[in-house]
Amino acid sequence: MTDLTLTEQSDRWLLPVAAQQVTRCCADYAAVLLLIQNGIEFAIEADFSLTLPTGQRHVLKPGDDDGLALAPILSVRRRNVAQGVAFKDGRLVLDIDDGSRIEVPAARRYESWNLTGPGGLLVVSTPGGDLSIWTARHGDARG
Amino acid sequence: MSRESNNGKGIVFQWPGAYRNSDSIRIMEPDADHPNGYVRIYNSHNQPVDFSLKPSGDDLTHIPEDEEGPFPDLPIEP
Repeated sequence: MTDLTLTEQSDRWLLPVAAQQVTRCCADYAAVLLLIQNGIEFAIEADFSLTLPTGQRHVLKPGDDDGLALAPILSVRRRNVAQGVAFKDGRLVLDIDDGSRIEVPAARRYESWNLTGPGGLLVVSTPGGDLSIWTARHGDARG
Repeated sequence: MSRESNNGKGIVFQWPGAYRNSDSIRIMEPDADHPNGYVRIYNSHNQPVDFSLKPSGDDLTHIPEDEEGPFPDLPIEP
């Protein structure tokens, strides 16, 4: 069974996505969605940054009308996540094994991102910079 | 079925068997910009929707709990 345990440290939660492949990248109405091999999915709703291995930094805006401007995120498709961290101040950092980094800041007024997974796992970055967590229920394969 | 977050700051009502956020209503505790809390409603396609149940932007999919007017029907198919 897939281990969906969140590991708590003083200022952060380590997410169970390390060494897992990004199997889908897509743009929804006002979010970028990243599906991970083990069934975890990130929905990024706030402006976020993608820094490529070259050092080039893109600021992506899921809420804007220009969908083509989100194209750089496709570079992480089929890559493995090296580490995923949810900071207790609401930030999300995903390090990709090619050296890319996705950084999502917390937002003052709205939720900036959420994570869903099997067993009802849900992590939400709430307005103002906080996390709300619903841990996965053992034996529940529901996505 | 309903489920409260570990820290008690939110509660999710969701149709049994629904995947991810789909077919759910999530009620969140107050914060600085939502003094009475807010609600997020997700349709069957896992998209947050506004008060008219259409996918929309952040400003319209974080529905204040004190929003006036008829609350939309729960977007859950029995």
